Amino acid sequence: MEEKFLEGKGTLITGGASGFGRGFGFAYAKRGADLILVDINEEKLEKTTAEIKKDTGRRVIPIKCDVTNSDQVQAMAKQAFSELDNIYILNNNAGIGVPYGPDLLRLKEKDWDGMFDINLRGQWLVSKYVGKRMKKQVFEPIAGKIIHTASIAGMIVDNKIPAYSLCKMGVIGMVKLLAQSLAPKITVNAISPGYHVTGIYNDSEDAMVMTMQDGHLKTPLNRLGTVDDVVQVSLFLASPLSNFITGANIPVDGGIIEAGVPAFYLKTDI
Amino acid sequence: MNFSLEGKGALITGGASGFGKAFALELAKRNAEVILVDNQEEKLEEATQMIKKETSHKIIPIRCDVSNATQVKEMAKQAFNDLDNIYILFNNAGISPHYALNLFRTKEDEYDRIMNVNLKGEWLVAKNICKKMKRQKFEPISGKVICTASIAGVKPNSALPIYSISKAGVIAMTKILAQDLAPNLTVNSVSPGYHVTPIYNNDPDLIKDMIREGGVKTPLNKLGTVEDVVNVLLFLASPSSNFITGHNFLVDGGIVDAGLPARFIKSDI
Repeated sequence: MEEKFLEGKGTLITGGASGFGRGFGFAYAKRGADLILVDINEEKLEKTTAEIKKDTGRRVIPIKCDVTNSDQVQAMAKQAFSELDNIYILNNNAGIGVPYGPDLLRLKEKDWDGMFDINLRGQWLVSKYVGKRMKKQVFEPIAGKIIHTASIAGMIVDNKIPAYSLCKMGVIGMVKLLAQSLAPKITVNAISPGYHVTGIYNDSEDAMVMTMQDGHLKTPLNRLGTVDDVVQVSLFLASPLSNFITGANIPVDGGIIEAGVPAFYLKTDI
Repeated sequence: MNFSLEGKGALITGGASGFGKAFALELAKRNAEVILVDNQEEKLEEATQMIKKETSHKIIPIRCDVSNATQVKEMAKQAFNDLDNIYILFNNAGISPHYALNLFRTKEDEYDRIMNVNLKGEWLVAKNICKKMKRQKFEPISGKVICTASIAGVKPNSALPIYSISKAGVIAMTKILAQDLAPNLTVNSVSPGYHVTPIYNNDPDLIKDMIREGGVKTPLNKLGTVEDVVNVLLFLASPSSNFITGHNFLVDGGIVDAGLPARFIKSDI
Protein backbone atom coordinates (compact mmCIF):
# COMPACT_ATOMS: atom_id res chain seq x y z
CA MET A 1 0.00 0.00 0.00
CA GLU A 2 2.31 2.72 -1.25
CA GLU A 3 -0.21 5.34 -2.37
CA LYS A 4 -0.12 8.70 -0.57
CA PHE A 5 -3.65 8.30 0.75
CA LEU A 6 -2.93 10.32 3.91
CA GLU A 7 -1.96 13.58 2.20
CA GLY A 8 -3.60 16.51 4.03
CA LYS A 9 -4.47 14.28 6.98
CA GLY A 10 -3.21 14.43 10.54
CA THR A 11 -2.41 11.36 12.60
CA LEU A 12 -1.83 10.95 16.32
CA ILE A 13 0.01 7.96 17.72
CA THR A 14 0.37 7.22 21.42
CA GLY A 15 3.33 5.08 22.39
CA GLY A 16 4.77 6.59 19.24
CA ALA A 17 8.43 6.60 20.22
CA SER A 18 9.15 2.89 19.78
CA GLY A 19 7.86 -0.51 18.67
CA PHE A 20 4.62 -0.59 16.69
CA GLY A 21 3.98 3.13 17.32
CA ARG A 22 7.25 4.09 15.71
CA GLY A 23 6.43 1.80 12.79
CA PHE A 24 2.99 3.40 12.33
CA GLY A 25 4.67 6.83 12.37
CA PHE A 26 7.09 6.02 9.56
CA ALA A 27 4.39 4.31 7.50
CA TYR A 28 1.88 7.18 7.79
CA ALA A 29 4.47 9.90 7.15
CA LYS A 30 5.61 8.04 4.01
CA ARG A 31 2.00 8.16 2.84
CA GLY A 32 1.80 11.92 3.21
CA ALA A 33 0.48 12.37 6.76
CA ASP A 34 1.57 14.90 9.36
CA LEU A 35 2.19 13.29 12.72
CA ILE A 36 1.81 13.86 16.38
CA LEU A 37 3.88 11.38 18.32
CA VAL A 38 2.88 10.97 21.94
CA ASP A 39 5.07 9.14 24.44
CA ILE A 40 6.21 9.30 28.03
CA ASN A 41 9.84 8.54 27.16
CA GLU A 42 11.23 11.94 26.18
CA GLU A 43 14.59 10.76 24.92
CA LYS A 44 13.19 8.11 22.59
CA LEU A 45 10.45 10.50 21.51
CA GLU A 46 13.00 13.09 20.37
CA LYS A 47 15.05 10.47 18.57
CA THR A 48 12.10 8.95 16.68
CA THR A 49 10.74 12.39 15.80
CA ALA A 50 14.09 13.39 14.27
CA GLU A 51 14.37 10.09 12.37
CA ILE A 52 10.91 10.30 10.82
CA LYS A 53 11.37 13.97 9.90
CA LYS A 54 14.68 13.23 8.25
CA ASP A 55 13.42 10.17 6.41
CA THR A 56 10.14 11.59 5.12
CA GLY A 57 10.33 15.39 5.29
CA ARG A 58 6.89 15.48 6.94
CA ARG A 59 5.85 17.54 9.95
CA VAL A 60 6.33 15.49 13.10
CA ILE A 61 5.37 16.99 16.45
CA PRO A 62 6.43 15.22 19.64
CA ILE A 63 4.25 15.62 22.72
CA LYS A 64 5.39 14.18 26.03
CA CYS A 65 2.42 12.78 27.89
CA ASP A 66 1.65 10.19 30.53
CA VAL A 67 -1.63 8.66 29.30
CA THR A 68 -2.58 7.65 32.86
CA ASN A 69 -2.78 11.33 33.84
CA SER A 70 -6.06 12.91 32.77
CA ASP A 71 -4.74 16.50 32.94
CA GLN A 72 -1.83 15.60 30.72
CA VAL A 73 -4.09 13.78 28.25
CA GLN A 74 -6.45 16.78 28.04
CA ALA A 75 -3.54 19.17 27.55
CA MET A 76 -2.09 16.85 24.93
CA ALA A 77 -5.40 16.70 23.01
CA LYS A 78 -5.70 20.49 23.10
CA GLN A 79 -2.16 20.97 21.85
CA ALA A 80 -2.63 18.31 19.15
CA PHE A 81 -5.66 20.07 17.64
CA SER A 82 -3.92 23.44 17.77
CA GLU A 83 -0.85 22.07 15.97
CA LEU A 84 -2.74 20.21 13.24
CA ASP A 85 -5.92 21.09 11.32
CA ASN A 86 -7.32 17.65 11.84
CA ILE A 87 -6.62 14.25 13.32
CA TYR A 88 -7.90 11.73 10.82
CA ILE A 89 -6.12 8.72 12.29
CA LEU A 90 -5.72 8.02 15.99
CA ASN A 91 -3.58 5.03 16.94
CA ASN A 92 -4.37 4.43 20.56
CA ASN A 93 -1.34 2.30 21.10
CA ALA A 94 0.50 3.20 24.33
CA GLY A 95 0.78 0.22 26.63
CA ILE A 96 3.10 -1.82 28.80
CA GLY A 97 3.77 -5.53 28.96
CA VAL A 98 5.12 -7.69 31.74
CA PRO A 99 7.07 -10.93 31.86
CA TYR A 100 5.22 -14.10 32.84
CA GLY A 101 4.40 -13.81 36.54
CA PRO A 102 1.93 -14.63 39.31
CA ASP A 103 -1.66 -15.63 38.55
CA LEU A 104 -4.70 -13.53 39.35
CA LEU A 105 -4.91 -14.64 43.00
CA ARG A 106 -1.25 -13.95 43.72
CA LEU A 107 -1.13 -10.70 41.76
CA LYS A 108 -0.39 -7.63 43.89
CA GLU A 109 -2.91 -4.78 43.92
CA LYS A 110 -0.34 -2.22 42.87
CA ASP A 111 0.57 -4.35 39.84
CA TRP A 112 -3.11 -4.65 38.87
CA ASP A 113 -3.56 -0.88 39.20
CA GLY A 114 -0.39 -0.01 37.34
CA MET A 115 -1.37 -2.23 34.43
CA PHE A 116 -5.00 -1.06 34.22
CA ASP A 117 -4.07 2.62 34.50
CA ILE A 118 -1.99 2.49 31.35
CA ASN A 119 -3.41 -0.30 29.22
CA LEU A 120 -7.12 0.30 29.70
CA ARG A 121 -7.79 3.63 31.42
CA GLY A 122 -5.06 5.33 29.39
CA GLN A 123 -6.58 4.18 26.09
CA TRP A 124 -10.02 5.27 27.29
CA LEU A 125 -8.80 8.76 28.25
CA VAL A 126 -7.12 9.25 24.88
CA SER A 127 -10.20 8.15 22.89
CA LYS A 128 -12.43 10.24 25.16
CA TYR A 129 -10.52 13.47 24.64
CA VAL A 130 -9.35 13.02 21.07
CA GLY A 131 -12.24 10.97 19.62
CA LYS A 132 -15.00 13.48 20.41
CA ARG A 133 -13.26 16.21 18.43
CA MET A 134 -12.51 13.85 15.55
CA LYS A 135 -16.23 13.23 15.17
CA LYS A 136 -16.82 16.88 14.24
CA GLN A 137 -14.40 16.79 11.29
CA VAL A 138 -15.86 17.07 7.81
CA PHE A 139 -14.01 14.41 5.83
CA GLU A 140 -16.21 12.22 3.64
CA PRO A 141 -17.35 9.46 3.73
CA ILE A 142 -15.63 8.88 7.09
CA ALA A 143 -14.57 11.73 9.39
CA GLY A 144 -11.75 9.78 11.01
CA LYS A 145 -10.45 6.37 12.02
CA ILE A 146 -9.39 5.09 15.43
CA ILE A 147 -7.18 2.05 15.81
CA HIS A 148 -6.49 0.54 19.23
CA THR A 149 -3.67 -1.82 19.97
CA ALA A 150 -5.08 -4.83 21.84
CA SER A 151 -3.40 -8.26 22.05
CA ILE A 152 -4.13 -11.91 21.45
CA ALA A 153 -3.89 -12.20 25.26
CA GLY A 154 -7.22 -10.37 25.26
CA MET A 155 -8.78 -13.06 23.05
CA ILE A 156 -7.68 -16.12 25.03
CA VAL A 157 -6.81 -15.06 28.55
CA ASP A 158 -3.45 -16.11 29.90
CA ASN A 159 -3.10 -16.57 33.66
CA LYS A 160 0.64 -15.91 33.56
CA ILE A 161 -0.15 -12.34 32.53
CA PRO A 162 -3.59 -11.98 34.12
CA ALA A 163 -3.88 -8.20 34.45
CA TYR A 164 -2.47 -7.67 30.97
CA SER A 165 -4.98 -10.17 29.53
CA LEU A 166 -7.92 -8.50 31.25
CA CYS A 167 -6.84 -5.02 30.14
CA LYS A 168 -6.56 -6.15 26.55
CA MET A 169 -9.90 -7.96 26.73
CA GLY A 170 -11.22 -4.64 28.00
CA VAL A 171 -9.71 -2.84 25.03
CA ILE A 172 -11.44 -5.25 22.63
CA GLY A 173 -14.75 -4.57 24.40
CA MET A 174 -14.14 -0.82 24.55
CA VAL A 175 -13.53 -0.72 20.81
CA LYS A 176 -17.04 -2.06 20.20
CA LEU A 177 -18.56 0.55 22.54
CA LEU A 178 -16.57 3.37 20.96
CA ALA A 179 -17.62 2.11 17.53
CA GLN A 180 -21.25 2.53 18.65
CA SER A 181 -20.72 5.94 20.21
CA LEU A 182 -18.77 7.34 17.28
CA ALA A 183 -20.84 5.80 14.44
CA PRO A 184 -21.48 6.68 11.68
CA LYS A 185 -18.69 9.26 11.52
CA ILE A 186 -15.69 7.36 12.84
CA THR A 187 -14.66 3.74 12.44
CA VAL A 188 -13.05 2.18 15.52
CA ASN A 189 -11.17 -1.10 15.33
CA ALA A 190 -8.51 -3.03 17.22
CA ILE A 191 -5.41 -4.91 16.18
CA SER A 192 -4.32 -7.85 18.32
CA PRO A 193 -0.65 -8.59 17.74
CA GLY A 194 0.78 -11.96 18.72
CA TYR A 195 4.50 -12.35 19.38
CA HIS A 196 6.49 -9.70 17.58
CA VAL A 197 10.07 -8.62 18.12
CA THR A 198 9.54 -5.28 19.90
CA GLY A 199 10.79 -3.37 22.93
CA ILE A 200 8.32 -5.21 25.15
CA TYR A 201 10.73 -8.17 24.76
CA ASN A 202 13.83 -5.89 24.77
CA ASP A 203 13.94 -6.46 20.99
CA SER A 204 15.26 -9.96 21.72
CA GLU A 205 14.13 -12.90 19.61
CA ASP A 206 15.47 -15.35 22.17
CA ALA A 207 13.47 -13.81 25.00
CA MET A 208 10.37 -14.07 22.88
CA VAL A 209 10.93 -17.67 21.80
CA MET A 210 11.48 -18.63 25.47
CA THR A 211 8.21 -16.93 26.40
CA MET A 212 6.39 -18.81 23.66
CA GLN A 213 7.88 -22.17 24.66
CA ASP A 214 6.98 -21.48 28.24
CA GLY A 215 3.39 -20.85 27.13
CA HIS A 216 3.29 -23.99 24.91
CA LEU A 217 2.44 -21.91 21.89
CA LYS A 218 2.76 -22.85 18.24
CA THR A 219 2.55 -20.38 15.38
CA PRO A 220 0.84 -21.94 12.33
CA LEU A 221 2.67 -19.65 9.92
CA ASN A 222 5.96 -20.83 11.46
CA ARG A 223 7.77 -17.58 12.02
CA LEU A 224 8.06 -14.82 14.58
CA GLY A 225 6.08 -11.65 13.98
CA THR A 226 7.71 -8.42 12.91
CA VAL A 227 6.74 -4.81 13.51
CA ASP A 228 5.97 -4.53 9.80
CA ASP A 229 3.34 -7.31 9.99
CA VAL A 230 1.33 -5.10 12.34
CA VAL A 231 2.10 -1.86 10.51
CA GLN A 232 0.64 -3.31 7.30
CA VAL A 233 -2.66 -4.09 9.00
CA SER A 234 -2.77 -0.66 10.60
CA LEU A 235 -2.31 0.85 7.13
CA PHE A 236 -5.29 -1.19 5.94
CA LEU A 237 -7.39 0.10 8.85
CA ALA A 238 -6.18 3.66 8.15
CA SER A 239 -7.04 3.36 4.44
CA PRO A 240 -10.41 3.70 2.69
CA LEU A 241 -10.31 -0.07 2.05
CA SER A 242 -11.66 -0.67 5.55
CA ASN A 243 -14.36 2.04 5.53
CA PHE A 244 -17.19 -0.48 6.04
CA ILE A 245 -15.54 -2.22 9.01
CA THR A 246 -16.11 -0.97 12.55
CA GLY A 247 -15.95 -2.56 16.01
CA ALA A 248 -13.70 -5.35 14.76
CA ASN A 249 -10.64 -6.88 16.35
CA ILE A 250 -8.11 -8.27 13.90
CA PRO A 251 -5.52 -10.70 15.23
CA VAL A 252 -2.12 -10.40 13.53
CA ASP A 253 -0.42 -13.39 15.05
CA GLY A 254 0.46 -15.90 12.36
CA GLY A 255 -2.71 -17.82 13.21
CA ILE A 256 -1.90 -18.62 16.88
CA ILE A 257 -5.36 -17.85 18.22
CA GLU A 258 -7.58 -18.93 15.37
CA ALA A 259 -5.65 -21.78 13.81
CA GLY A 260 -3.09 -22.72 16.46
CA VAL A 261 -5.08 -24.72 18.93
CA PRO A 262 -4.70 -27.63 19.47
CA ALA A 263 -1.02 -27.15 18.76
CA PHE A 264 -0.03 -30.81 18.39
CA TYR A 265 -1.43 -30.97 14.86
CA LEU A 266 0.89 -28.27 13.63
CA LYS A 267 4.10 -29.19 11.92
CA THR A 268 5.99 -26.01 12.69
CA ASP A 269 9.19 -25.16 14.49
CA ILE A 270 7.82 -22.14 16.30
CA MET B 1 -4.24 -0.71 -3.42
CA ASN B 2 -1.22 -1.09 -5.63
CA PHE B 3 0.34 -4.51 -5.82
CA SER B 4 1.17 -6.74 -8.72
CA LEU B 5 -0.02 -10.27 -9.34
CA GLU B 6 2.15 -10.66 -12.44
CA GLY B 7 2.86 -14.33 -13.01
CA LYS B 8 0.15 -15.37 -10.57
CA GLY B 9 -3.12 -17.18 -11.18
CA ALA B 10 -6.44 -16.69 -9.42
CA LEU B 11 -9.48 -18.96 -9.31
CA ILE B 12 -12.84 -17.56 -8.35
CA THR B 13 -15.98 -19.62 -7.82
CA GLY B 14 -19.26 -17.79 -8.18
CA GLY B 15 -17.22 -15.65 -10.54
CA ALA B 16 -19.99 -14.63 -12.92
CA SER B 17 -21.64 -12.02 -10.72
CA GLY B 18 -21.60 -10.09 -7.44
CA PHE B 19 -18.45 -10.13 -5.32
CA GLY B 20 -16.80 -12.80 -7.49
CA LYS B 21 -17.03 -10.86 -10.73
CA ALA B 22 -15.95 -7.55 -9.20
CA PHE B 23 -12.97 -9.14 -7.42
CA ALA B 24 -11.95 -10.94 -10.63
CA LEU B 25 -11.83 -7.61 -12.46
CA GLU B 26 -9.62 -6.05 -9.76
CA LEU B 27 -7.25 -9.04 -9.80
CA ALA B 28 -7.00 -8.92 -13.59
CA LYS B 29 -6.20 -5.19 -13.35
CA ARG B 30 -3.27 -6.20 -11.14
CA ASN B 31 -2.06 -8.56 -13.87
CA ALA B 32 -3.33 -11.87 -12.48
CA GLU B 33 -4.54 -14.56 -14.86
CA VAL B 34 -8.03 -15.48 -13.79
CA ILE B 35 -10.20 -18.58 -13.92
CA LEU B 36 -13.87 -17.80 -13.44
CA VAL B 37 -15.98 -20.70 -12.24
CA ASP B 38 -19.74 -20.52 -12.22
CA ASN B 39 -22.82 -22.64 -12.74
CA GLN B 40 -24.63 -20.05 -14.87
CA GLU B 41 -23.21 -20.36 -18.36
CA GLU B 42 -24.65 -17.23 -19.88
CA LYS B 43 -23.58 -14.90 -17.09
CA LEU B 44 -20.20 -16.61 -17.01
CA GLU B 45 -19.65 -15.81 -20.66
CA GLU B 46 -20.74 -12.20 -20.14
CA ALA B 47 -18.42 -11.71 -17.15
CA THR B 48 -15.50 -13.28 -19.04
CA GLN B 49 -16.00 -10.96 -22.01
CA MET B 50 -16.39 -7.89 -19.78
CA ILE B 51 -13.13 -8.53 -17.90
CA LYS B 52 -11.25 -9.44 -21.08
CA LYS B 53 -12.40 -6.21 -22.66
CA GLU B 54 -11.46 -4.07 -19.67
CA THR B 55 -8.05 -5.60 -19.03
CA SER B 56 -7.06 -7.59 -22.15
CA HIS B 57 -5.91 -10.37 -19.83
CA LYS B 58 -6.21 -14.13 -19.98
CA ILE B 59 -9.60 -14.99 -18.45
CA ILE B 60 -10.76 -18.59 -18.55
CA PRO B 61 -14.37 -19.49 -17.86
CA ILE B 62 -15.13 -22.95 -16.49
CA ARG B 63 -18.71 -24.01 -16.01
CA CYS B 64 -19.07 -26.08 -12.86
CA ASP B 65 -21.64 -26.93 -10.23
CA VAL B 66 -19.58 -26.83 -7.02
CA SER B 67 -21.95 -29.21 -5.26
CA ASN B 68 -21.05 -31.94 -7.75
CA ALA B 69 -17.83 -33.73 -6.74
CA THR B 70 -17.11 -35.06 -10.24
CA GLN B 71 -17.49 -31.65 -11.81
CA VAL B 72 -15.28 -30.02 -9.17
CA LYS B 73 -12.57 -32.61 -9.75
CA GLU B 74 -12.71 -31.98 -13.50
CA MET B 75 -12.69 -28.22 -12.96
CA ALA B 76 -9.59 -28.41 -10.74
CA LYS B 77 -7.78 -30.55 -13.31
CA GLN B 78 -8.57 -28.12 -16.09
CA ALA B 79 -7.61 -25.14 -13.93
CA PHE B 80 -4.10 -26.44 -13.24
CA ASN B 81 -3.75 -27.35 -16.93
CA ASP B 82 -4.70 -23.87 -18.05
CA LEU B 83 -2.59 -21.99 -15.52
CA ASP B 84 0.90 -22.60 -14.06
CA ASN B 85 -0.27 -21.81 -10.59
CA ILE B 86 -3.24 -20.72 -8.52
CA TYR B 87 -1.98 -18.17 -6.03
CA ILE B 88 -5.40 -16.87 -5.03
CA LEU B 89 -8.44 -19.04 -4.47
CA PHE B 90 -11.67 -17.16 -3.79
CA ASN B 91 -14.06 -19.85 -2.57
CA ASN B 92 -17.17 -17.79 -3.03
CA ALA B 93 -19.99 -19.66 -4.81
CA GLY B 94 -23.09 -19.68 -2.68
CA ILE B 95 -26.85 -19.40 -2.73
CA SER B 96 -29.32 -17.74 -0.41
CA PRO B 97 -33.06 -17.95 -0.06
CA HIS B 98 -34.92 -14.77 0.80
CA TYR B 99 -36.26 -14.58 4.36
CA ALA B 100 -38.13 -17.84 4.48
CA LEU B 101 -39.39 -20.70 6.52
CA ASN B 102 -38.07 -21.36 9.98
CA LEU B 103 -35.93 -24.36 10.85
CA PHE B 104 -38.89 -26.66 11.55
CA ARG B 105 -40.75 -25.89 8.36
CA THR B 106 -37.74 -26.21 6.11
CA LYS B 107 -38.02 -29.18 3.75
CA GLU B 108 -35.22 -31.68 3.41
CA ASP B 109 -34.55 -30.89 -0.20
CA GLU B 110 -34.17 -27.20 0.66
CA TYR B 111 -31.71 -28.06 3.46
CA ASP B 112 -29.70 -30.26 1.10
CA ARG B 113 -29.70 -27.72 -1.71
CA ILE B 114 -28.29 -24.90 0.45
CA MET B 115 -25.81 -27.01 2.42
CA ASN B 116 -24.54 -28.76 -0.72
CA VAL B 117 -23.62 -25.51 -2.44
CA ASN B 118 -22.60 -23.29 0.48
CA LEU B 119 -20.70 -25.71 2.68
CA LYS B 120 -20.01 -28.95 0.83
CA GLY B 121 -19.27 -26.95 -2.32
CA GLU B 122 -16.65 -24.78 -0.61
CA TRP B 123 -15.16 -27.91 0.97
CA LEU B 124 -14.98 -29.75 -2.36
CA VAL B 125 -13.31 -26.79 -4.04
CA ALA B 126 -10.77 -26.39 -1.21
CA LYS B 127 -10.11 -30.14 -1.17
CA ASN B 128 -9.40 -30.29 -4.90
CA ILE B 129 -7.44 -27.05 -5.29
CA CYS B 130 -5.54 -26.35 -2.05
CA LYS B 131 -3.29 -29.39 -1.88
CA LYS B 132 -1.66 -28.35 -5.15
CA MET B 133 -1.55 -24.71 -4.07
CA LYS B 134 0.41 -25.77 -0.99
CA ARG B 135 3.21 -27.22 -3.13
CA GLN B 136 3.75 -24.01 -5.10
CA LYS B 137 7.06 -22.25 -4.64
CA PHE B 138 6.07 -18.65 -4.02
CA GLU B 139 7.78 -16.90 -1.08
CA PRO B 140 7.03 -16.11 1.71
CA ILE B 141 3.49 -17.49 1.18
CA SER B 142 2.69 -20.05 -1.56
CA GLY B 143 -0.90 -18.97 -1.92
CA LYS B 144 -3.89 -17.33 -0.31
CA VAL B 145 -7.36 -18.77 0.18
CA ILE B 146 -10.38 -16.59 0.92
CA CYS B 147 -13.79 -18.10 1.68
CA THR B 148 -17.06 -16.19 1.56
CA ALA B 149 -19.01 -16.58 4.78
CA SER B 150 -21.69 -14.17 6.06
CA ILE B 151 -22.70 -12.25 9.16
CA ALA B 152 -25.46 -14.86 9.39
CA GLY B 153 -22.72 -17.34 10.24
CA VAL B 154 -21.66 -15.20 13.20
CA LYS B 155 -25.10 -14.15 14.43
CA PRO B 156 -27.42 -16.91 13.15
CA ASN B 157 -30.70 -15.62 11.79
CA SER B 158 -33.79 -17.75 12.38
CA ALA B 159 -35.38 -16.39 9.21
CA LEU B 160 -32.42 -17.81 7.27
CA PRO B 161 -31.84 -20.99 9.24
CA ILE B 162 -30.04 -23.27 6.80
CA TYR B 163 -28.09 -20.44 5.24
CA SER B 164 -26.90 -19.38 8.72
CA ILE B 165 -25.82 -22.92 9.56
CA SER B 166 -23.97 -23.29 6.25
CA LYS B 167 -22.09 -20.03 6.78
CA ALA B 168 -21.20 -20.85 10.40
CA GLY B 169 -19.74 -24.02 8.92
CA VAL B 170 -17.69 -22.00 6.45
CA ILE B 171 -16.21 -19.92 9.29
CA ALA B 172 -15.20 -23.07 11.18
CA MET B 173 -13.89 -24.71 8.01
CA THR B 174 -11.72 -21.67 7.34
CA LYS B 175 -9.96 -22.18 10.68
CA ILE B 176 -9.46 -25.88 10.03
CA LEU B 177 -8.11 -25.23 6.53
CA ALA B 178 -5.79 -22.60 8.05
CA GLN B 179 -4.35 -25.33 10.33
CA ASP B 180 -4.03 -27.93 7.59
CA LEU B 181 -2.48 -25.59 5.06
CA ALA B 182 -0.09 -23.72 7.40
CA PRO B 183 2.55 -22.47 7.05
CA ASN B 184 2.35 -22.43 3.24
CA LEU B 185 -1.07 -20.88 2.70
CA THR B 186 -3.09 -18.29 4.57
CA VAL B 187 -6.82 -19.04 4.78
CA ASN B 188 -9.30 -16.37 5.87
CA SER B 189 -12.99 -15.66 5.40
CA VAL B 190 -15.00 -12.53 4.75
CA SER B 191 -18.46 -12.10 6.19
CA PRO B 192 -20.45 -9.55 4.25
CA GLY B 193 -23.50 -7.94 5.80
CA TYR B 194 -26.21 -6.49 3.58
CA HIS B 195 -24.79 -5.48 0.21
CA VAL B 196 -26.49 -4.63 -3.04
CA THR B 197 -25.75 -7.81 -5.04
CA PRO B 198 -27.67 -10.20 -7.28
CA ILE B 199 -28.53 -12.33 -4.23
CA TYR B 200 -31.03 -9.50 -3.56
CA ASN B 201 -31.74 -8.86 -7.25
CA ASN B 202 -29.50 -5.77 -6.95
CA ASP B 203 -32.49 -4.12 -5.30
CA PRO B 204 -31.70 -1.72 -2.39
CA ASP B 205 -35.38 -1.54 -1.43
CA LEU B 206 -35.59 -5.30 -1.00
CA ILE B 207 -32.56 -5.16 1.30
CA LYS B 208 -33.99 -2.28 3.32
CA ASP B 209 -37.20 -4.26 3.81
CA MET B 210 -35.22 -7.29 4.98
CA ILE B 211 -33.17 -5.20 7.37
CA ARG B 212 -36.26 -3.57 8.82
CA GLU B 213 -38.01 -6.91 9.16
CA GLY B 214 -34.98 -8.35 10.93
CA GLY B 215 -34.72 -5.41 13.38
CA VAL B 216 -31.17 -4.77 12.19
CA LYS B 217 -29.40 -1.41 12.42
CA THR B 218 -26.19 -0.53 10.59
CA PRO B 219 -23.95 1.70 12.74
CA LEU B 220 -22.21 3.16 9.69
CA ASN B 221 -25.64 4.17 8.34
CA LYS B 222 -25.40 2.97 4.76
CA LEU B 223 -26.09 -0.14 2.75
CA GLY B 224 -23.06 -2.15 1.80
CA THR B 225 -21.73 -2.09 -1.73
CA VAL B 226 -19.86 -4.70 -3.70
CA GLU B 227 -16.82 -2.44 -3.52
CA ASP B 228 -16.84 -2.48 0.31
CA VAL B 229 -16.22 -6.23 0.20
CA VAL B 230 -13.83 -6.18 -2.76
CA ASN B 231 -11.63 -3.68 -0.86
CA VAL B 232 -11.18 -6.18 1.96
CA LEU B 233 -10.63 -9.02 -0.50
CA LEU B 234 -7.80 -7.01 -2.06
CA PHE B 235 -6.18 -6.60 1.35
CA LEU B 236 -6.43 -10.37 1.84
CA ALA B 237 -4.94 -11.00 -1.61
CA SER B 238 -2.04 -8.62 -0.93
CA PRO B 239 1.17 -9.22 1.05
CA SER B 240 -0.17 -6.82 3.72
CA SER B 241 -2.16 -9.70 5.25
CA ASN B 242 0.62 -12.31 5.16
CA PHE B 243 0.68 -12.80 8.97
CA ILE B 244 -3.07 -13.31 9.32
CA THR B 245 -4.63 -16.75 9.00
CA GLY B 246 -7.86 -18.37 10.22
CA HIS B 247 -9.60 -15.04 10.73
CA ASN B 248 -13.13 -14.10 9.73
CA PHE B 249 -13.41 -10.47 8.55
CA LEU B 250 -16.79 -8.89 9.14
CA VAL B 251 -17.55 -6.31 6.44
CA ASP B 252 -20.96 -5.18 7.57
CA GLY B 253 -20.82 -1.53 8.64
CA GLY B 254 -20.56 -2.66 12.24
CA ILE B 255 -23.85 -4.59 12.46
CA VAL B 256 -22.42 -7.51 14.40
CA ASP B 257 -19.63 -5.88 16.41
CA ALA B 258 -21.19 -2.51 17.14
CA GLY B 259 -24.87 -2.82 16.21
CA LEU B 260 -26.40 -4.51 19.22
CA PRO B 261 -28.49 -3.45 21.02
CA ALA B 262 -29.87 -1.58 18.02
CA ARG B 263 -31.76 1.00 20.04
CA PHE B 264 -28.50 2.83 20.78
CA ILE B 265 -27.71 3.32 17.12
CA LYS B 266 -28.64 6.62 15.53
CA SER B 267 -28.84 5.52 11.92
CA ASP B 268 -31.48 5.41 9.21
CA ILE B 269 -30.48 1.99 7.94
